[in-house]
Amino acid sequence: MSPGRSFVSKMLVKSKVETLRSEGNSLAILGEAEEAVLGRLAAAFDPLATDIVFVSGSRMEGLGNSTSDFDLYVVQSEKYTGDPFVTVVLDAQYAVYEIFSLAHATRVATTLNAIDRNDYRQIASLSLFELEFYYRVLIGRALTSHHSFEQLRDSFRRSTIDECVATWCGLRSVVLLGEARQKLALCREAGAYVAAQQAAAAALDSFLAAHGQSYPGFKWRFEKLLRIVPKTSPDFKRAWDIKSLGRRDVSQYLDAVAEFCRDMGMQAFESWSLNDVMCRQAKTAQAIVVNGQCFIVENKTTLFELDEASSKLWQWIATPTRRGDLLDRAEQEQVMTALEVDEVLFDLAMHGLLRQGSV
Amino acid sequence: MTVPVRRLRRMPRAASAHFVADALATRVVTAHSGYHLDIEGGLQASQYGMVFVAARLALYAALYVHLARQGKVAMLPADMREIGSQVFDLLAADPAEADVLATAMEFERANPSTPDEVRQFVEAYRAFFANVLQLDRGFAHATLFSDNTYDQYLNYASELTKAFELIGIAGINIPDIRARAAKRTAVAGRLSVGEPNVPSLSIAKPIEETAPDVRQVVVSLDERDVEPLRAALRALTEAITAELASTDGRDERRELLVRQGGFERTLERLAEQARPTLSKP
Repeated sequence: MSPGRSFVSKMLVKSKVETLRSEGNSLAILGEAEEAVLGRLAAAFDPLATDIVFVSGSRMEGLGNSTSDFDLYVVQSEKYTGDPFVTVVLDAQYAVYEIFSLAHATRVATTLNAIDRNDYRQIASLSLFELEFYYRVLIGRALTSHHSFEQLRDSFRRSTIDECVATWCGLRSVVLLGEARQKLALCREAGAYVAAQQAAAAALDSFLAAHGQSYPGFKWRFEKLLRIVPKTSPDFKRAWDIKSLGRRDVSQYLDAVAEFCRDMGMQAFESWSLNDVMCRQAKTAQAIVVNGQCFIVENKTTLFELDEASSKLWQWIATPTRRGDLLDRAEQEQVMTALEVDEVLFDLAMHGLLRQGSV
Repeated sequence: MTVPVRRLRRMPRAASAHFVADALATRVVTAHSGYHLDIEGGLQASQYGMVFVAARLALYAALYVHLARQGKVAMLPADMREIGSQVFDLLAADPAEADVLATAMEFERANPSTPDEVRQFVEAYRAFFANVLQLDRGFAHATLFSDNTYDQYLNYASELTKAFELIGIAGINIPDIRARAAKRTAVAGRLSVGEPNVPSLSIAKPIEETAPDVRQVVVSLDERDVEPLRAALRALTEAITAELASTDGRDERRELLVRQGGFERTLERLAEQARPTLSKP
């Protein structure tokens, strides 16, 4: 049996529901005090009869604690005001109201429901904001307009979000591991390590989603893992250990992360790579040529100078372009080597001048 | 001899650099206050996994603020949770940051395994935040600790918005900051009145009870106008969907969603009203 299968089979010994029950986690069962606070928070927004106000987030996921925020959502079907989100601070807790139109909520559901799970390009282009919103509707509980909320939630499906988050995180993990390797090749050890550490985290997030723990509040990944395996299990210890470099050197750590990712089932996404990421200029960066010299002005504040080869690369990403295509074109036109392209792209990303697909 | 009071001082940085640095530092240190609360709550609830992850995210945010204050970053991160690689690359690329990088790497490579070790890790991080980075000054690091500090944060952001409007910088100020402050005041006011807790079913008020919030403008369209208008609105709606795909940042996306919501509302109204009114002369 491969290490991956061993890990997976052990994790499935306890079903999710059994684990939740045995550890006393109750999804959506809140205390009386919390219920009273929620009632007041919903009333304070002064909603219309047609507005759906619902609560969601970590409290509804059964992970909330004494300082967790109250995540309230207002979905407006009539008279969508476009109000910005509102934050109010209570005693050592805060509440955030996010306001969306019903059309937006429906569009998020339609988009994710229609997505082809094997179309990696489509899944990679999803925003975490949409994934979060989809999940939050799914686990939400209406505070007003209960019937309308149920009607809305009918379009949101658990299997859809589990599959989307599992694939989205899996693709992310593959990309981050690729980034770690490329950075190590360029002797950027700190960046290589951080990317590898994030690759391991994304692999665990993907694994959790594939096993029914797709809540996109990724900071809870270890608490979610504890819903599936006990803390004393070798599987938990391994996932907990890979979270940081510890005493390993970066190269050893990358090898350990690669093995961990394999065991988490990331080979399922091996047809995807760092080169599939779409690259584009950041919106607040503008190029300007003065006296034959190319500059980038960032937010009217910082000035960067580009050499001729880099300025060509910059022009190529004026429209979103696949990273692999940039490498091919640079080679064909003899602008720079693949490693040099990587170096420039990492530099652009470091300065916030480059946006890269879903990562 | 008395030393003359200096009444006018030339700032060492350009206005844009000064205010952008200020705005970035304030926004990110505000996000840091959320991590602080996560850590507090997690420690109380023995959620050590989350505490560790939140402390790591807090470290990234703190390093981002440190860099922003020195003008070494000039734009908001696409996602506060995704800045780890960027801050370590920036620190590593700048020899002047060698000391901060060395300490930050110690935190980054630390691998606490027991609850006690996680607690020690958090304590050491808090000391780094306060004593080395000195980010516990001012109100921003405590933004989410009380409604007063949150008010201070919004007022400050509102003032910065004026500064950015003056200088002509977009993409860094909080969209709709004034509307946000007004709505917040209204909600907070209703919360502080001490109204009794009401069952949620009775909260909502009927739509007809609400005063119209915008002036009604009656326009007359004939059939030749409606179809092109509809097509234009659909095109605008779809264009925003495409733009959303390449837009990062919660506030920036929200701005687009609000615009899209406006077009969709007009489309709905056209659909509702076209039948009875368009046939009239």
